[in-house]
Amino acid sequence: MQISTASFWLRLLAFLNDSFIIMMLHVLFLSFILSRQTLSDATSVFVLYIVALPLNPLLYFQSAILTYYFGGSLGKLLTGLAVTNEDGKPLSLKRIFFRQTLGYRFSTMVFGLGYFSVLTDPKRQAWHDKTIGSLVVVYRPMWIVGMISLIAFVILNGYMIAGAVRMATTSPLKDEAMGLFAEYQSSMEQDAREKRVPLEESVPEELN
Amino acid sequence: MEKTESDWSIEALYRGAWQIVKHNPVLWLFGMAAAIAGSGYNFRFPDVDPQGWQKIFEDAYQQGGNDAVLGNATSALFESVSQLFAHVPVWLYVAIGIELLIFLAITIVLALIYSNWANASLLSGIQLAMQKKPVSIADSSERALSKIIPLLQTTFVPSLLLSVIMLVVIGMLAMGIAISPSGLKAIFILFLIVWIAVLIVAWFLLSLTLIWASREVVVHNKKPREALGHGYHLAKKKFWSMLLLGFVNNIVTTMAIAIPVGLMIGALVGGFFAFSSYKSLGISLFVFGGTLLFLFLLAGWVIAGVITAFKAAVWSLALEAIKDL
Repeated sequence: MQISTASFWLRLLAFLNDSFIIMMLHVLFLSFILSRQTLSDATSVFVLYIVALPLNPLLYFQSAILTYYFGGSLGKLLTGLAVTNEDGKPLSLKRIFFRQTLGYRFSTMVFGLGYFSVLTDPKRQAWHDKTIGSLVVVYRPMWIVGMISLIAFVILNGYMIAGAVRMATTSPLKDEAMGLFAEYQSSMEQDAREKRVPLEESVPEELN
Repeated sequence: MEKTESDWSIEALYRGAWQIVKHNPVLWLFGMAAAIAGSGYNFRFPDVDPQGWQKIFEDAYQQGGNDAVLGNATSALFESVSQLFAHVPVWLYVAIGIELLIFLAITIVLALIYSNWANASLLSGIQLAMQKKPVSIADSSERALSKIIPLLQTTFVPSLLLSVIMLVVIGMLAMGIAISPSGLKAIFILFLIVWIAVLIVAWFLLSLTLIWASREVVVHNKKPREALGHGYHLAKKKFWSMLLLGFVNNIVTTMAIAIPVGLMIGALVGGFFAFSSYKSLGISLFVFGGTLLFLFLLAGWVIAGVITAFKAAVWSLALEAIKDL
């Protein structure tokens, strides 16, 4: 069976789709934080964000889990790509995990040269593909869908970021934070006034 | 023919190792991976240090009493921020704690796997080169994947055991020194000195054993226990030769790094001092030193990879010379 391997540009398209999907999750959460009415509420939602996204192990391994069950990460599926072994068959869970964690680490050495090796390799394998004998194949020509979804994600992200910035500048949180900062500034000034030595005490008696 | 003490010549080992490393750049990559992974054994989890954050908050809280300028302002701000975080449900903090523990465990496991995979791939690649076969990432890694667990058992378990025994005995002797009457203290101190000497020899022997044992596992497909046994046997027989080879390896690799680093530092420092009196000389030295620094930053890890691969090739060739002992 003829296997059609994915070019560097298709893989890049899939990677960009993945990146913007993850970015969208972060921006969504941050918008939700900024939509809260009080700083106390916003703090609780911020801690929830830390639990749900940056520290969530599932998020870090989602591409490995999706690749095992569906053949590729979300970005790859949208672009019509799949990760298989060199015979076109699915890979084992251990190999997929190795590829998506330590394999990527190996490719990142020497300024990410491992990723760019796809450009010159006859089988279009990156270094992380070579470590476990995987190929990224085109199972369906869907690059148009990948391009459209990428454009949609970029626009959506931009719109959400702009909305978040607007919320940050107009929400009641901003007033509460500014109030807190003003309180802190006035406390600082008061402390500085209390610590300053009175002028009469600093001038010698004969000059008074 | 009976094997003699000098079963290898350092010159022949170095010449052979250089030929292997020079013609197989793939080995530099595995050397780099092994060199980078070496730092994984520190079990660091960067960016998150719960005790560090606690200290920062404690210091910030106490700073109000010590700092003459900020005084109560800092503690008032800290109190306001603490009150905000005090309203967060406790289960979220528990979840953060669990996630951090999971991350720590995963980081340690991945670091161990990466390090052992890199070493196994390097040794497999060197073996392919010694057999005059082409060395590729795919072939070396494929051979290494099945050796990760046996190699981990071979290298990690004995080191962990020795560390535990060392800590337990030192702990007991330290307690004995602390609580025993002054007459008996001298005996405990003597035991401690003897124990430390025994530990030094034990660590040396273990390090030398593991050099052979790891190759027996990866190249000769031996089981960990068998590999450790044979490695220990070879390490005892070739103890002084190995120490000499290791010493020479370290001297050569130190010189390989120290000479360009010394030139770079000398040029930069010389340029700094010469700049005030002889501007043109100072600028030339700065440019020369700066260029060396830039190249070092760019190629530093590649150099580390080449050196790691070279040292590994030296030991692999040495094992080939004495494997039937």
